[in-house]
Amino acid sequence: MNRNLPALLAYVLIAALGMAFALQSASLGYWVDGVAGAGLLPLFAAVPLLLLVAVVAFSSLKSAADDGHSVAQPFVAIVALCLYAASLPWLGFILGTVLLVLVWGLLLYRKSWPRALALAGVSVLIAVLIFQLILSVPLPLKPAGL
Amino acid sequence: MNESLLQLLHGFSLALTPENLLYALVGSLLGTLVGVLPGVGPVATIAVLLPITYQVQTPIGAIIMLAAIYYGAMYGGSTTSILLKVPGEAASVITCMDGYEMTRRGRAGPALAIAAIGSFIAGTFAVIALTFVGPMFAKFAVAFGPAEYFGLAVLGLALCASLSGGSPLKGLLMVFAGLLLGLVGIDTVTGVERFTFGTPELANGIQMIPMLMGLYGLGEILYSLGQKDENTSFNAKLGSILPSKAEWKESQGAIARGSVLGFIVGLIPGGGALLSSLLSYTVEKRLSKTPEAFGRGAIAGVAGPESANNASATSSFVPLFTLGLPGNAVTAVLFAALLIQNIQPGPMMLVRHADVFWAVIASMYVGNIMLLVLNLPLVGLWVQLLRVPFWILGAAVLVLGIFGAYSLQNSIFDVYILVISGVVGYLFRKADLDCAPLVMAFILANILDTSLRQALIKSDGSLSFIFSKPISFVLVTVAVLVLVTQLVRHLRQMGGSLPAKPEPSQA
Repeated sequence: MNRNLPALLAYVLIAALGMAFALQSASLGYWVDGVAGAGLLPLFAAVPLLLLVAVVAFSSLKSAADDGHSVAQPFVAIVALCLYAASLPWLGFILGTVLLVLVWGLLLYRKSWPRALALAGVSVLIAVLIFQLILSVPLPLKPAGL
Repeated sequence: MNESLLQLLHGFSLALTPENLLYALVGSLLGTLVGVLPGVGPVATIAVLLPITYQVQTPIGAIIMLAAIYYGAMYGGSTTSILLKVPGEAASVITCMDGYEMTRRGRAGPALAIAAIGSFIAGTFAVIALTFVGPMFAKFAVAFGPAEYFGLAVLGLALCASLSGGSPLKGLLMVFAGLLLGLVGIDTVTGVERFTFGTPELANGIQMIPMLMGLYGLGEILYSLGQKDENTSFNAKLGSILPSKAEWKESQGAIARGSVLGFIVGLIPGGGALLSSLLSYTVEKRLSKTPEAFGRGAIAGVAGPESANNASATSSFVPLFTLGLPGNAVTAVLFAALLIQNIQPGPMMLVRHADVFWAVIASMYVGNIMLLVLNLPLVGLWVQLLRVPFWILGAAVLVLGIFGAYSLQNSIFDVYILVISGVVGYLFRKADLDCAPLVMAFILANILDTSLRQALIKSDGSLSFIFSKPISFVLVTVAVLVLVTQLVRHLRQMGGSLPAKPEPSQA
């Protein structure tokens, strides 16, 4: 995987943010009834943002030095985190988090099943103890429907 | 001055209750415990531990605990810098240089001790100075109107973009991104929804705490995953804890200078720990009779920056409490925490929440003593913690972070914000974009927007308010000068006419 990809994605993300806000700022109005509208500051921030992102991305990506870090493992973790977040309302905190930590141990750190399972079990147990029992946070622990 | 002392005594009477002492103790311990984890800096530590403080019944207790977590995390960060050469935050990069060299030479104990003692002295000095400077700032700021707040916000943003470390262009880019994100939600002037894209959970804006937990905590964990070697465990010998006579002598001046320098720098929005550490290191190297020893295990290279770092951490409370302006990412988290406790930081805080203000200041004295007493004997315990591999520690921080984010409002949407911010934090880290200016701008966005629009209404839509009010004129002029100077300097560096300054890694 291209090691510059995360940096490129960062700049694309910022550009998309600037573009979306610049476009929506028009519908909010820049000057309404003789006073500054809700879209004025967003426009003043979005336009220089778009100019800057072009300049910074061009110069940074051209001269980007490799930090020697792998990109594959963080991306596996990102996919796992996104799936976890998306499935959390259905899986609940216990099952969902156990699966997430299993991915962490098995795929990202290549640990054996028993060690990964132990880590998942203990870490989730501690978190449930702290938040559910000590801090009384009403966590949706079980899968939906159970 | 007498009034300040009386108020401070009242603060002590509040801070020294058994309950608040316990919060300070728990906060110091928890802060050091999490802060000592490799790669987890003070911002991530406070953000991850913030939900725990929600259970504290009184605002004073909650803020005392948070301040203690902050100090603990700062100390924990120095521990990993000295023992592992893994800076928990940008400022600790400076400590790494000589601290780790001392560890390699079997002098880890004295390095850790001098970091703790220097932090204690600097912290105490800064707290005493804060007792007197804070109310002066607040009295001055009471007269501020929209034009002055606009000038202050502009100056804060300019300083953040310029001084946070790295390229000012990147700093500016992050400032504008932060401004946009900070404007999400219902516009307080017109009542219309801005950039919520039909998501009701965004009507009150993006929740700051899960965002910070993601940007700093989760983002850092994802970044650490890319580092292939797991070999961050501490294997060297700690050696004797007490510094030798010569090391004491060498450290005294460095601690004194670092304390004063750090306090002054911490007052500047955007200045903070990195700048104070860097300045202190430069000063000590220039004043040293053996500058060639710096970078090779000079104890003054640990004592000075660590003291400066701690003094600036304390003085950064001045703009937060008196002007309502967080000076760095850590005080930005504290700003959010204060709001959650229904305390609005700013000039009126001393009037409306004088108890909280003085109790927190008093608790800082107590916290500094507590950290010194706790951390020197517990150095061995923190070292044992560093021997636990990252695949276990990282998973623990990840799970606590997720549960903690949910517990903020009992909302899965906050977990979504955490995950998205974590991914963004990782991408920014890879692009060498410092998140601190983004966070600062995120907080200042509404102050800037509201003050600009109120000032425009008062001046009939004319920008003349900037020039007609002396304070706003001075503030905006300084902001423009700072930005222009930094940009010119950066362009010169790019052109190769000046030697490039190394870009420190972010927290």
